[in-house]
Amino acid sequence: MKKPLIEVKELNLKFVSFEGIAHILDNVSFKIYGREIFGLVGETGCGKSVTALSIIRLLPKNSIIEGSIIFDEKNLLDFPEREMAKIRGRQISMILQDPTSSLNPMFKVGEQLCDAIKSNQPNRKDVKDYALELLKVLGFRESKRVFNSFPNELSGGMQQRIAIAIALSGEPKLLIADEPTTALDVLTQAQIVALLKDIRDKYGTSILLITHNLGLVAEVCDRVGVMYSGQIVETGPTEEIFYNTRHPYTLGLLQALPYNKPKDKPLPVILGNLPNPFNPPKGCRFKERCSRATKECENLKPKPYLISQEHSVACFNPLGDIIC
Amino acid sequence: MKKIISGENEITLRLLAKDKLALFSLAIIVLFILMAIFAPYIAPYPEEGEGKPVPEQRFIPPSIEHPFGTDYLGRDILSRIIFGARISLSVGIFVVICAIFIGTPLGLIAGYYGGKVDEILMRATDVFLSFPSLLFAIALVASLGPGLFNAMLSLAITWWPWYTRLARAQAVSIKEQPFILASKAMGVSGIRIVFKHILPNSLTPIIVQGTMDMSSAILAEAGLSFIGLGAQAPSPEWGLMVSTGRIYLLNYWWFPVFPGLAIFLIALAFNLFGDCLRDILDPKTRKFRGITF
Repeated sequence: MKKPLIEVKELNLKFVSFEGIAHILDNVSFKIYGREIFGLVGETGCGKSVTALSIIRLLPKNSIIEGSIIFDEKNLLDFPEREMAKIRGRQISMILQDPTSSLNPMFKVGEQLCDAIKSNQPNRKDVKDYALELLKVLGFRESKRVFNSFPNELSGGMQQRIAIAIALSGEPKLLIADEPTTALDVLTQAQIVALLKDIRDKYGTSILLITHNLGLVAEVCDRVGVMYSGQIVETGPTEEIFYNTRHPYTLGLLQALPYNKPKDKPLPVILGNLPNPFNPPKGCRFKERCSRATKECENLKPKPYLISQEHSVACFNPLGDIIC
Repeated sequence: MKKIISGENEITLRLLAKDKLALFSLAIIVLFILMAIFAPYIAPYPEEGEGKPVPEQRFIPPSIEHPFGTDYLGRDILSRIIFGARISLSVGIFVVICAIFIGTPLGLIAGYYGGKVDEILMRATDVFLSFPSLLFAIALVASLGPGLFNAMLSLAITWWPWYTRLARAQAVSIKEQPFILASKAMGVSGIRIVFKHILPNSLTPIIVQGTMDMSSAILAEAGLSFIGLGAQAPSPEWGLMVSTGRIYLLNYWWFPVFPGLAIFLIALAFNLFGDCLRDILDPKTRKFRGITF
């Protein structure tokens, strides 16, 4: 079997605050292989971004983290901060949701890109040429003009591409993209998505794509993990998730998509809200919103189990073979 | 064809060029700076400006030869004021720059790192701020011994905590910006984030505060000289001139009045300029000044 590039094993995360202890992540496990785009989907507040921040170890100080994140056969959670800083940017890098505020407004983008290249590839001499080349790869036709622009002179999509260029400057093995298209319009989204695919093909970078856009997942991801309330409820190859859905929550998400739905009927929605992280319910966390909940779900926590070689689900009453 | 305006710097310059009050105060500041630099060439009587007494021409009222009159040792007051600009400006610049260089890095570090570092640094500044600053400066000069340099030094020592507070407040708000998280995610070290990313973004209020403090520092130093703790005779320091001239106010009014006017003018100019700069640099207050493109 292939060896994964990064393996997150039974990650538990708690935030300590004045209100008590918030249980943010509960036994999150997933793997990302080389040259793979892994999608992490779920609604707002289910712990997607926090999972990304755990991998790159930039959680707030009041967090307690347990489990392991194996990267290159080493556990990232054991690394001292100084070692971790060397991993960031060179092995794992990250792009953020809002491109308009993820660049320093005081410096020209070229300068910021060169800075990133210098710090991540100290031996490189042709920093400026490499920067211009990176800009070309990212689809800037007038790379010289862009090089000498300030962030506020560029559009959101352009700023996001600059952010991606900076993230790629250290030729990382894993790129974490935390909702990279949320702040962009649909056309720009399509460009960024195509770009991510290109990057994977060209550099062999694995990408962890965090999003709540299922259309995006269907388009680019090789495998998907569906998150709900800090747990991964279903994970598997994209096609399996979309056409062989097993978890009721995943089905709910898919049914709420407006594609190919009759116009006169309201869209089916998942009623209710995410459970309170300070006091998570016993048993299955989805039971209150689930139409298939039984007594079993009330007290016992469903454990993920494999239903095919790659596809696993955490549910006592998974759906059978249905066509979505 | 109209040139496309790009970047905050250019916007600031353009707004500045349209603001009459800012231009007026800047003109006064530039005038004083030129006066200070070229004092020996501008002053009508350079030797008297530096303190050479001329007993035969004491207390000449303002006239064509002596536009501001002469003092009790027969020295031309205009020349002395021109030479005094050197002292006042260098005091202002020295005190403000020292305060900024000491205060800003400490504040940025306290704000960015937080926790114990923050506690220690901020409590230290609280100790300094708990004394009235002029009183503290007087106490310091008294123990160091009166003199211009000691006065400057003690003013700088009492001034930096204000910049620490200002810079800390800036760092605390800027460190939450996404681009700081982005640079952390690229493996940028803490100290580099502080000085490369937070410092340039927090300079605006510090520059404004510095400009306004120029006037306060000049006033404070004039005050120290007035009570005899700053510059010593025969230095053409304005505060000192007011102090020695005040007993002659009723008979020879020009002796204390013109140096006093000089202090007033430079303090006013720096204050006005600081005010305008603050309003121009903050996009929210631009419209209150009626400045648009």
